[in-house]
Amino acid sequence: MSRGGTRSRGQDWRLVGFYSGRIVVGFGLLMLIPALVAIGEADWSSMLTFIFSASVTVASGFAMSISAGQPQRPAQWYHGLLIASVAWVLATLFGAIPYDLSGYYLSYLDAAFDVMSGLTTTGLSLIQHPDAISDAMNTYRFIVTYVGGLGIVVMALTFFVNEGGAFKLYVGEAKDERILPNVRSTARAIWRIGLLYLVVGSALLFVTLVIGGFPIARAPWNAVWMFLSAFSTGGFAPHSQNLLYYHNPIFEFAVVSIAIIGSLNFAFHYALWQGRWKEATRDLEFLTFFLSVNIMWLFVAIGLIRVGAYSGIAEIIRIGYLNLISAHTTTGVSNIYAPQFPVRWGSLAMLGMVMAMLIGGSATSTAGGFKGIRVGILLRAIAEDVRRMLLPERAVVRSRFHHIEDSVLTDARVRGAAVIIMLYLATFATVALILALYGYPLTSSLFEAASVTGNVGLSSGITQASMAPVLKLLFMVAMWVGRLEFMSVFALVASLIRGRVPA
Amino acid sequence: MRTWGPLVALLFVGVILVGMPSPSCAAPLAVTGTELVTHGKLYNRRIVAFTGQVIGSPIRDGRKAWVNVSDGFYAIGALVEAKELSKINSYGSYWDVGAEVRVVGTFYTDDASQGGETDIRATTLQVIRPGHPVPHPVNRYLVFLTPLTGVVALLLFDLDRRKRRSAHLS
Repeated sequence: MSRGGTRSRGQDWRLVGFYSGRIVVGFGLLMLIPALVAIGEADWSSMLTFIFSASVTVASGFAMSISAGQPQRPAQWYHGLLIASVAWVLATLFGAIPYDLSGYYLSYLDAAFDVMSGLTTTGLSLIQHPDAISDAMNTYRFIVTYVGGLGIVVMALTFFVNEGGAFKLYVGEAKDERILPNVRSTARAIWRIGLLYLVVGSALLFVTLVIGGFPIARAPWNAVWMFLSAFSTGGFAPHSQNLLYYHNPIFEFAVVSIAIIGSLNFAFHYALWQGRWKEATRDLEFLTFFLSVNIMWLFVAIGLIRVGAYSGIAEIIRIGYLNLISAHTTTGVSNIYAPQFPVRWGSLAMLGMVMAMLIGGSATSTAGGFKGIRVGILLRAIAEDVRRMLLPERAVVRSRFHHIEDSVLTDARVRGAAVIIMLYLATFATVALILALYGYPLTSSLFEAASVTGNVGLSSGITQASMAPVLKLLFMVAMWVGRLEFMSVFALVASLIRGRVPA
Repeated sequence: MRTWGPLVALLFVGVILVGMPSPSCAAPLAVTGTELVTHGKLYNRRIVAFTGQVIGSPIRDGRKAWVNVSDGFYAIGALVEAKELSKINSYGSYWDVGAEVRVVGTFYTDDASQGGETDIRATTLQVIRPGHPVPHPVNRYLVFLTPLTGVVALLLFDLDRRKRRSAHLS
């Protein structure tokens, strides 16, 4: 980040306003997809809701961009951070319009909560009667999650933003790895990967649903929605019972497999697509994920066996392993009811789940949490420090690690990873403490706090429309900072306090 | 007479014991979804009666079928005889209020034969109230407002396009 002086406040905010407006326009256009679904089903009420919401959002986005004026210079790092944080808030506020008009939320705050939850791919929901919402509304819910997972800034870069400084916008959304040399090509590659998986994954889910006795007429919708939910590691489901609704272990297995794919780094996907299969045995982030899942599985399995939660090993694997993978990939789909976690699982299994949710998936993926690469870097740094202690004082140790390419383990990298992990832990502890102060049991508070901070979406039963509005706002902020990995939000807060944007 | 007293009492107790219903034919416990989900162990393997609206779609599993029954708080999966489905006229969705049914059967908090699911293996399914369609009237305010906001959006789009053009030319 350049430290060469400060720019005038107005000029910088205009630049932020221009790009944020563009992103709002893109988000508004997305609302036309559910409008088309409504037209296809002759659901005129929903159609009107979505066309109205889309036109208000698009008009507001254009108004922002026009009043901000064409940028006179490319965006800088700091602008990228600001644009990401502002755009996510605006998308939440405008995105809540169709939810609020649908009548399935008790308040606008609840509607905004669900949009933030969807965009951040958390998956906690305050919707009333989810079993009775329209296909158009369900399509919107899952599109919000999918776009949030791939990144709303990534979406704007793909379709709307041609101007310079694009990489700086891209980084602001906590995606800091370029798959291709050009950032626009990278954004398009992310969408190509996402769309190809959408076709293949939905087809797979459709087949498993039909094999499981699900009516063919409803299977396509459910397959596409559940794909969007799993791949974006979102966790929403079209029915209140989540995966339990389907009574289909094969379908559950397919959904979780898609969630694993979604939680992997897009650069890792791209490497595998190019035939670099050895990455699966060399990549530090992938190996960390593999190791971490197995360690957490020990916690969960031993915990479930100890309390006798389930009658057999097959049940422990189906329910315990599915929920663990759901937690670790930060997906949030589940085949048990939310209150059954604290009631049946016992503290050891819950602890395993909390750790899995905090570690999360991969960087530059749809997943949340610390991210495997940071945990891997920190563990490698600890191992190197121990190694240094055992070597002669004069020995020169140059540490390396492999993540898509060979890299040197510098102090700056280690510090960067440690800072983000510390910030996640601080947010997690704060949310857990506040929940405990509100009178919720400690284990449930820790579980919910990890789920919110790590953008997971599993619940111990705390997240409900009846919870205090302050807690809803707290959860929204935690989801937002967790998804943008703090720096974008800190940049926004610092700019608002200082009144100037260093560029 | 004194020697007959205890014998009569014993006979009386015996008649009462024989006349008592066995657990299998006891009246089912009327339960709510919240009770089954949060205190499942209390009802595990007991005969329960669960009342609610059938939602979503039936899922066929050979000669059996799954129906999901919601009491407004929790939906519980009930495994019923597939032939029972003919009693249900509609399933709860955006378009319909589902039939209200009373499912009687054995509740399992961890049904080993179904991979550990929390469910009710139903013996009877009784329709209490048939389902019916739900009207979705169009919001009259939106009928007037939508064309207005649509025109504003198009005008702003045009203005934005012109501004971009002039910026490129200059």
